[in-house]
Amino acid sequence: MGEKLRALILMIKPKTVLFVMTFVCIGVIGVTYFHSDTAVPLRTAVGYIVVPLQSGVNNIGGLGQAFLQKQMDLQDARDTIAEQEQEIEALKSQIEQYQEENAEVKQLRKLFELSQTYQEYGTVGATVVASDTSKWFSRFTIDKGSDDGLEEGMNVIADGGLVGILTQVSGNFSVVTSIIDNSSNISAMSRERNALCVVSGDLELMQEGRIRMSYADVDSGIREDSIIVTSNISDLYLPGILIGYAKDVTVDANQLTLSGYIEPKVDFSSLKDVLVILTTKQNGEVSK
Amino acid sequence: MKHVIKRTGVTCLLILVFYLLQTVVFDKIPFLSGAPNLLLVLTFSVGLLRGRGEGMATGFFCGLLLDIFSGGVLCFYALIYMYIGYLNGILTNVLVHEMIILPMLVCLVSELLCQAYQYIFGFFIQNKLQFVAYFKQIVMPELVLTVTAALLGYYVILQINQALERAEQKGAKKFA
Repeated sequence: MGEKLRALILMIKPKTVLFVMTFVCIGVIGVTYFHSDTAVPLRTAVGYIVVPLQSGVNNIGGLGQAFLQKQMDLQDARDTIAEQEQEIEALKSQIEQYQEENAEVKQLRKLFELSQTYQEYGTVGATVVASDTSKWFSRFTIDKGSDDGLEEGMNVIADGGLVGILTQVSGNFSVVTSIIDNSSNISAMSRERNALCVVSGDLELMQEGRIRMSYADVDSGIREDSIIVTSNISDLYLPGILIGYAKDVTVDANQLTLSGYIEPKVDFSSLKDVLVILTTKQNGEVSK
Repeated sequence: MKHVIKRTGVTCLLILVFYLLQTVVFDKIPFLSGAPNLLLVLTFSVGLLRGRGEGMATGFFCGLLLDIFSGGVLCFYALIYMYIGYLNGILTNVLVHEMIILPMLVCLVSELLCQAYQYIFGFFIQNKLQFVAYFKQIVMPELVLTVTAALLGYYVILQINQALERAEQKGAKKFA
């Protein structure tokens, strides 16, 4: 029986297999391009095997790192405790001052109906388990998926700034495409004057962790260090999430628009934990 | 038959281990600007050492794994890795196992092929033509890393292959 099977396998030439598989591959590329849902079962199945391993390797690496760090930190900690005790006293008096101001801010917010900031959306924490294997893209895998209630199109934040958007969700993992990726295009605005602009990722700038800003009106008042947030009119991103700060703003040759760069709030080279906002732009609009 | 299963098992394990190294471990090393493409090293090594059929199969599954976790279409990487495995398989008969120049050269060509494929289908068709800048920033660093990693990776795979071959010969003798 085994011999017969062996003979049968030997009869098939690699060239034939290559020929057939080429067409199969092109077919699958076509199908998954137009119907990305068809790939989900396979992705989910493989995810259940590989993602726990990735998390495990991450944790082991983390333990080693943590141990070394602990020893180093201990000495630092002793020195800083003394300093901090003095600081605490100073801060206590500041807190009282801030509490008063905070009450005032709340009152003003109510007045302007600005209470819908993104801090109020429900979020779920996730850990980055793997990066994309290729340097052509800026994507990474997180260890939460549809099992945890995630959906495609949800926004991802970290350190109070926008990281990216979920572009693919499977059972226990999801792929985040970051805002510095070449394919990223975000409708944004300046926080001071709500002046619109477009923020797009660029492969050449990706290595520096910067993104491009363009199509801002020349009268928009955007200048060096202006705060840029996601706009109200974006289809994909919730409004008011901090993207970063404008840099090297120049007037375009047409004298009508401004362009420049944005330094993102998030440090993409050392992302570890992220927050996924559970409200998508579309859902959020409906429930309001 | 038993050897085929054993070999398949070993290759699957290697794919998994190399993938984890590539995406998790190398990513954590701060002074590296990227990760070497270890799955490519595996593909061309198996192709060189074991011929067209096995090279092709290994390449296909390496590529498929990348596809599954990259979030794009399926079989995009599988297609190019399959061809790399197949093309390297043609060179099997030319190869003297201990010679190191040929694997290095093959690795260089494979890596360039792979990068060109990603550039053409990911960027060129979107009319993004800053080729020189991309070459300097993305292709060169990965090329250097991968070729360096190939030295070690190829050696490890060579050793595993020789160990498996010895086991198979022993088994064959016993059988006869």
